[in-house]
Amino acid sequence: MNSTARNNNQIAETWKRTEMSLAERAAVKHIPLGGIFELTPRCNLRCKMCYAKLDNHEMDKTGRERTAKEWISLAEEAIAAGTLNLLLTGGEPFIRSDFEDIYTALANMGFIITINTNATLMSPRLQKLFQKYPPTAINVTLYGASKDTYAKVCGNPEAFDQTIRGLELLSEVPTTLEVRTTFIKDNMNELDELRTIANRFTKRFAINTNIFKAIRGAHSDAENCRLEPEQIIELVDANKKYYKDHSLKNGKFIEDFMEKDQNAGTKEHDYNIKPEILPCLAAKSMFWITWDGKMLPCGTFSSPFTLPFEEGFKKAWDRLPGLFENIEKPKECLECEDGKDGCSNCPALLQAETGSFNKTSPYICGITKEIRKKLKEQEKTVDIKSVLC
Amino acid sequence: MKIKKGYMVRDIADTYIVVPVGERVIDFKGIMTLNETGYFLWNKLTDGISYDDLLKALLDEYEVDEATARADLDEFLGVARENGVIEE
Repeated sequence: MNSTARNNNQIAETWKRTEMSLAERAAVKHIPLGGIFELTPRCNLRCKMCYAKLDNHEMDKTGRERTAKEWISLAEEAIAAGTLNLLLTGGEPFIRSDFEDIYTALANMGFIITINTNATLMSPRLQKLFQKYPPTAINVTLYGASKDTYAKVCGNPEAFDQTIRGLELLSEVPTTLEVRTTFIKDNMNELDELRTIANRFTKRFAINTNIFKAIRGAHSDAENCRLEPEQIIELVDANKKYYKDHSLKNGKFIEDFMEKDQNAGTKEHDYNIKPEILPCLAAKSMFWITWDGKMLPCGTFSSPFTLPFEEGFKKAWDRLPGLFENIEKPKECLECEDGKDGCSNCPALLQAETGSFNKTSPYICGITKEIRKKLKEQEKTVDIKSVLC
Repeated sequence: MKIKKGYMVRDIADTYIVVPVGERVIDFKGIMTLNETGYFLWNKLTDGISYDDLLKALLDEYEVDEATARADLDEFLGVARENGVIEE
């Protein structure tokens, strides 16, 4: 909307006045505004830190992939319930032979669609589909600046060229393209080279240092290859310094619906998840549906869950927050000095790291301690989550 | 005048949200919101309507004088045209 024109939009004025975003207003009413469809756990790469990837044998032990028809029908139910933002992810979503069928249907339902992909399976055919029905945004993971690094991180040196080719194809699609790198020890020295590659295709370059252990039946080498807390801080600082030194604004954006819940006190719907337990909008106006049909508040959780394909989307969504209302923080967290002004912890991360909501994780505590140490050195008081973004 | 094909109005959290769909995402990234009057006008425009008929509909629906209705209508159409959602 042209902001210089006299604004006839009372709704925007309401949002501005109350400082409550659409996502927070949806949370008050328990509307599933933002969702993730995890279409598959399969992937053509073998990234050593991946929390999600399953091979066929591992999949068979857990459940079955849902058909295109099932996903399309569920999407219709999500639309009826008020879902606006939809992220399609995996594994690698393009590995599904029926991805085009799923995407074509969803692209015409009224979602704002984002796709997460490693881009190695991009093809002229997919490019044509996206040129006809563009996703609003596409996030491409870039794991290394060379074939060697792709070999170390993903187990496939050829994937480097395939990713570049995928990015070239995607740069001809009228979408908002973002390149993201997940940093581990094997690629941590390539920050500048990775940004340079990303900037060939887009201004939007995001770094991810948040690696948790594999969950929901997956296996990874995360504990060995993820960065030490001080390495995370160093990397985040180096990236920030680049943008500061070049007087640039990093064009990256985090998914709109990953916002904090400031308004639990104004809830109208009958659920009660304290913001100090679940600080974000997961289960309040956000959901994640796994490849085998479990609805979770977010993709870092493993349980509990509801079953939208069995009980219907609306019923599964309505039941979801109630399963999480009785979570309590580990007692060590209640007494923690380092974490009292905020911590990079949450029940989902604890569950991923320790298998329990009640056990603390030395790794997560280590990150918080390192951030506190750094902030103390700089004599800053800054929201801890802003340090890691 | 008519709203171009490919815009869907969704009613979410007491808000009318216009979402571009399918091929329309090529032209428009993001969303628009409509207040009650905007929603009323949008619906009238969906199947095509003349300016005079639209003004008449506005006057029939709302208790407002013609000058105000005309000003509001012109403003709405101005923003709609600026955002490229109307075909004449």
